[in-house]
Amino acid sequence: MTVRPVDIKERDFALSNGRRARAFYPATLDGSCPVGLSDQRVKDSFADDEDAERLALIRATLEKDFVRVDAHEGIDPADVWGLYLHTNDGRLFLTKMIPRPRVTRMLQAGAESFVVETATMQVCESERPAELRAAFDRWLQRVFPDVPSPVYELNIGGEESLGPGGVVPEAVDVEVVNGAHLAPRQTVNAYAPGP
Amino acid sequence: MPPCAWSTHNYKHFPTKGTTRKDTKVGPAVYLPGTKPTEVRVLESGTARAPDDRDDGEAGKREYLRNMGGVIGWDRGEDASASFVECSGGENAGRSFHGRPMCDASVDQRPWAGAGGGA
Repeated sequence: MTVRPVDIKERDFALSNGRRARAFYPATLDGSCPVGLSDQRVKDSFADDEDAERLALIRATLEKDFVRVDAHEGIDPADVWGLYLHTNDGRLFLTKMIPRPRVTRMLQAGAESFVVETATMQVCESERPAELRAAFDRWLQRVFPDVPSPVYELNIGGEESLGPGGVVPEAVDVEVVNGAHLAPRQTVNAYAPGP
Repeated sequence: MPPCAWSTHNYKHFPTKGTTRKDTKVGPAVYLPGTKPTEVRVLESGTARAPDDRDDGEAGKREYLRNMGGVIGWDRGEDASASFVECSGGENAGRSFHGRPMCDASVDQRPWAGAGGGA
């Protein structure tokens, strides 16, 4: 099957309470947004009803001095990662991370006329696990703009996490203070993208 | 009403490595690890086409339920054997449908469930 090349545009939407979300869509000749993409649509899709309780718990945990976040690779598709926040009672799902190349493929496939970031989906710039930190910072600022950025430790991958080709990415511990990265305890060793 | 196209719903209900049943207690419901996207699409399309129950209550929004007769995922920390699908979006375009596994407790929260109304 031939996949048509698509120039992808993005538009930033400002929501209530300082929240934001980007929408991604194929460029049109006249530069217009796709039919159906509107402020109301982005607002409505930002969080499902079932997300409300969890978002409140996440907020309460983020307001602590230090938090731990785990990133787990997807199964199918493998490049869609899931982030979890450690709590006293276990852990809370935060968000999925979808790399921009996959967003492009989703739009190229034509099944969806636009893709919108939500409280449970952040677009990250590449498929490299090292990109997850920057994407997580953007997610924090976008979904909880009124919560001061916490000091956090982000653990990327793990023993059960295999990269493409079965290469095990090293676990990475990085401390971050208010978005500024401090010395990593281990070197980031993102697995090389496949051929 | 224009037709609905299937959406992955940003893979919200797809498990990642290490996902456990407990993660769904306050996290999104997920399909069982090993469920392929194509299988999810077939399952959700089938639910929308031939539901056991459906709700056309809210303007522009349709919801469908189908008992799959076996566990297809986890929801609220429990096994989930129902397939739930909703179709929503613009009145004229941009409509899409997506679904999720649903446990009995979540099904019971829908007053229209069990009332019939399927195809």
